[in-house]
Amino acid sequence: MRTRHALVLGFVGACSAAAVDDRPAFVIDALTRDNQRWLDRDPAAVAAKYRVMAARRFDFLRGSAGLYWRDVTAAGAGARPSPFAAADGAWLWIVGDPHLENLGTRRRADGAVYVDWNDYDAATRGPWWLDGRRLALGLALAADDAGLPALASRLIDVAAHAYAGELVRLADGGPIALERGGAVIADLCARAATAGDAGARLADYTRLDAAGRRGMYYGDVVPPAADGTWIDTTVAVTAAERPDVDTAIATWRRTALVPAGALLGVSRRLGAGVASYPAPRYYALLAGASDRLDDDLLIELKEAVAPAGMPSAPAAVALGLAEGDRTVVAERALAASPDDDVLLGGATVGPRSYRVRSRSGYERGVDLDDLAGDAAGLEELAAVAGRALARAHGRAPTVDGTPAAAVIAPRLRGQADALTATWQRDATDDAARVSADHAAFVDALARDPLLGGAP
Amino acid sequence: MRAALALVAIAGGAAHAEPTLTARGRATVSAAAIAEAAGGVTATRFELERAEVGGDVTAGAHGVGALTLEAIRSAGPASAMGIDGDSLVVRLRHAALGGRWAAGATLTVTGRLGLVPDPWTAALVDHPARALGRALTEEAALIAPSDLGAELTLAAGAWLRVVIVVGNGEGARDVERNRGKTTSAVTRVAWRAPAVGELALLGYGRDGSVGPGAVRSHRLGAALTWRHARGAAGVEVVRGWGVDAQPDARALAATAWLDVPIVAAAGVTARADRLSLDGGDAAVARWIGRGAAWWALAPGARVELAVERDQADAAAAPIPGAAAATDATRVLLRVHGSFEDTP
Repeated sequence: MRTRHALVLGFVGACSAAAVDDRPAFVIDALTRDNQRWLDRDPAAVAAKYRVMAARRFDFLRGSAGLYWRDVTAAGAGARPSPFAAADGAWLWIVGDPHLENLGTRRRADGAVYVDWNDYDAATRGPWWLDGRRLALGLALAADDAGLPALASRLIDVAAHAYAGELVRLADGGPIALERGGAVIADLCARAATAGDAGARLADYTRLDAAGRRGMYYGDVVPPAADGTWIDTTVAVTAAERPDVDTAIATWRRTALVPAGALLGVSRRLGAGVASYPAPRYYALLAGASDRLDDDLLIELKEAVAPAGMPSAPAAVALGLAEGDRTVVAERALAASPDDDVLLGGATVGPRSYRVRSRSGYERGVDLDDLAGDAAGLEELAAVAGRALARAHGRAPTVDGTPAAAVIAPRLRGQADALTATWQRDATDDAARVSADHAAFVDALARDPLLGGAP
Repeated sequence: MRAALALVAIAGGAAHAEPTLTARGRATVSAAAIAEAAGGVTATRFELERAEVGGDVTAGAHGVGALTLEAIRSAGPASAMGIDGDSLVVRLRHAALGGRWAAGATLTVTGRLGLVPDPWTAALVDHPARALGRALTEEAALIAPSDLGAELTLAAGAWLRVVIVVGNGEGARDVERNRGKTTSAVTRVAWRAPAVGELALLGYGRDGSVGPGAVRSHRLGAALTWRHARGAAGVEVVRGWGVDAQPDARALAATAWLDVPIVAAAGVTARADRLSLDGGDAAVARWIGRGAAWWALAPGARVELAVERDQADAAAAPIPGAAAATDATRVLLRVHGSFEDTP
């Protein structure tokens, strides 16, 4: 009897948890949860995403938005009240992941090229002041990664003043202005205009055959890195994927603002983005309005997933949209010129939801590697980011439909210095935490390229 | 589905070998019409809060099995992105098979393997407070309702029951994701007297881990319940170390409830929940108060008119500094039925 008792106790003891009670365990678990759907489908793509996140701290920030939102809400490691927090500003439209590399060029119907947010994957309803706090965190890391750590405080100061000033201006009836000025922005817009006019994306991702017909290109636009990480490659869509892609395109046609031509071909793009690196992303070639080859259109279908780590809204204010539709509604709410992309739309097929948008040379993203050591350029971008975030927040409707500037501006009037101080305080702590998390992540990745999350 | 077939197969096989096949079926449904004021707007909706069907089988001298199916929304709370849109889908809540042995007149030992119920949730599942919504510990994801594992139950008549479960610790949603197993134990001691009804004292402990990071997930709980023809009441407190993959988070979930029939077929019920979460530097705390007047449609079936108030502490809100952002007031017209029978 005593032996049996000992065996039972021994079994229970042997089965007891070997818990690891520290921050790295939380980071590993949060990242695994946020990437679970892709770990199940394509673990190699998640391993590549983790490699990208390990290589640069700013890319770790880009790939870990869910970690940020867990940290700054509920009982998270960085949760603390902001002097700007208020219940009436808690469920406004936010960008969700406003950092400098989510800025990029767009083209208005009249041909004007300007800069605005170009990624609404994490956009939802949430607290505007925590969206601003994430921008400040990104600025601190951008300065550090650019080799200019002393610049962080200045960038946050510029962005906070630009944000507060623009919001108050909008609340006072000022018009929406597009970002086209400044040396860095003007250069980015000029390069985008040139690339767009030259049909750059069509040239990159399609080819003309011997008969002069345009079709998809499958191969390296930019060769993979030495470790095998895709950078810009297209491959044929598999037979298993193709029916869903065709259905998604047919579904999307009903949501785009204008009719689009016949489908001429489809490819799968590999290597784009950081957070969405493992997400299925397809390029589809559509016939243009004429028989000319240069007016054919390229669209991108990218899987949209729920923003991770965000605070749960009460049912009365929850969006209740499929994820692809959420990004579309968000873009139309937050963008400075919301109807520029007439091909923007959503499609949901089975368990996958897609955001669909046009792809042309007119869309060009900010690359911080271009600004290494460029203090003036970073300062210009910080101001643009502050104003762009203010426009997005201020223009988007509240739950009852009025522009949110009327809710936010009263808290910011005469408070730009206080906003700066808050962002600087938070960014200092947040950046230190992200740096430590990044180091722990790199360390864990050395032991297991999937952080133990392999299916 | 395989588990269901296995259950039927064993029950059927045993029925041929032994004439003593008994089955007990259960069905629970809660549906509500809800008006909710939150975030500055008022909205109405209909919800199927709970729909479960299942049963237990005893086959032959020793065979036991249990199976419960539940309906859940397939989409996340803020999304319409689920299976075939935002469908209601049916999934397994419990599916377990095992054996039962009697030792003497009152002592029984039961062992089961499969998707077994969490012993704490199971110990309190049939209390009237559950008519007002899921357990706070389940709602706050402190305790998953079931886990893949093994369950051992020792019962001495109606007065003592000890349940030990060793499982993955990941609940029904995930496979095992770390090397550690999770061990839970519940002890229930009950005392019955005609004048007093039944008084029960329950104790709960769990030593566990979740996720590939092996984040700790320990729990300690206690409850005191009272049942009588004139009413029912209880208090439940659960302390948690490691919550939602945050190893340094500590939770305290407390619930008190009271259910009093005023006349034979009508009465009032109330429940107060307090949830606090301490993450080291930050904290979250909220109260949920519920009150309802009910009318019994049939034994086990009620229609309720309920009011709920969900309110965060000003200094410890889910969105720091904006406590009222997550506050909600709800008025619910709910029907709740729990039926159990042996064919």
